[in-house]
Amino acid sequence: MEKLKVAMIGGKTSSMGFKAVGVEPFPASVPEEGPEIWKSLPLERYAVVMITEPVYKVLREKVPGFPPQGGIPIVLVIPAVTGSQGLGMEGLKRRVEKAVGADIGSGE
Amino acid sequence: MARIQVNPNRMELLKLRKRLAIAQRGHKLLKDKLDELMKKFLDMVREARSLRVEVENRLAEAYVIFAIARSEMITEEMEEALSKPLAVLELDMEYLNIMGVRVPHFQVHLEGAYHCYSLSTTPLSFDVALENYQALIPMLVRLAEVENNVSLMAMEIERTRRRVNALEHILIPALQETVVYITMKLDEMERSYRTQLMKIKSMQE
Repeated sequence: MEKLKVAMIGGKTSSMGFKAVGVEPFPASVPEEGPEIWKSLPLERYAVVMITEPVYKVLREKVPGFPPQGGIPIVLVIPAVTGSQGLGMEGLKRRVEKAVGADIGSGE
Repeated sequence: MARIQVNPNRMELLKLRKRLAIAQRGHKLLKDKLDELMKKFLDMVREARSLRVEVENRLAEAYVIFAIARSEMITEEMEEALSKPLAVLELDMEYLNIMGVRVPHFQVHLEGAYHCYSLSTTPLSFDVALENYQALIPMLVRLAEVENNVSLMAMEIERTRRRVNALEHILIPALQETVVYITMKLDEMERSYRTQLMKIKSMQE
């Protein structure tokens, strides 16, 4: 078994509190810093990389092959302090559509 | 439908019939696998969905409390309080097998408390905020795991569906058509052989 860590890329306010509970924060003062931080991250050390929605958006546009599929680390989108934009749900919906061919069950 | 290019003889016919039987059996098995995968997948999607709603709500709450704590402290104080975290968060990873899909599973080890600061310089809401964050960690890890499972399963479903469709719409019809073709060819050869015999016999008489 491997010992892996949890990292977080996000705004200072969003990531600060997580530092106290053992998450390694990589604060980005603006979302546009995201790609640089992502590239400098030693990815093999982490199991989960939490990324706030604004940073995730920039990464998705700027970094080819992001988010990585099906391997470690797992990229988890979480809402930033400013509130949820529904990106996480959208990602889930897209995966359902891919597998089933239609979006089912989201109206529950 | 394109038939397979083979010599129309009895040997090939037998071979093709065997292949057809195997293809049909494989098709049935894969179809069953697809059904079961779909069932598991939908369960997982349901779990991921409710977990995400819960996590997002609780995270929003935690952010609010943290914001309150921040408003009661000056930035330097806050940075100092968080400068030497004692808590060590480590995840043990192992792989689980769900319907032949290898999915990672994590065990959360959170050692040490979040109390890494002076209680006299920090407000009460700071403790509450960090407690909230700590409670969120296992949920966040679980959410990452479930969402990852969902995407791995989605890939597997797509792959299985392609295989089922390839068997159903390409290989099996092609085999069936080739079997019919060879049977007809063999029958034709037999008929022509018989007419030849009859002709020869009538010439002898």
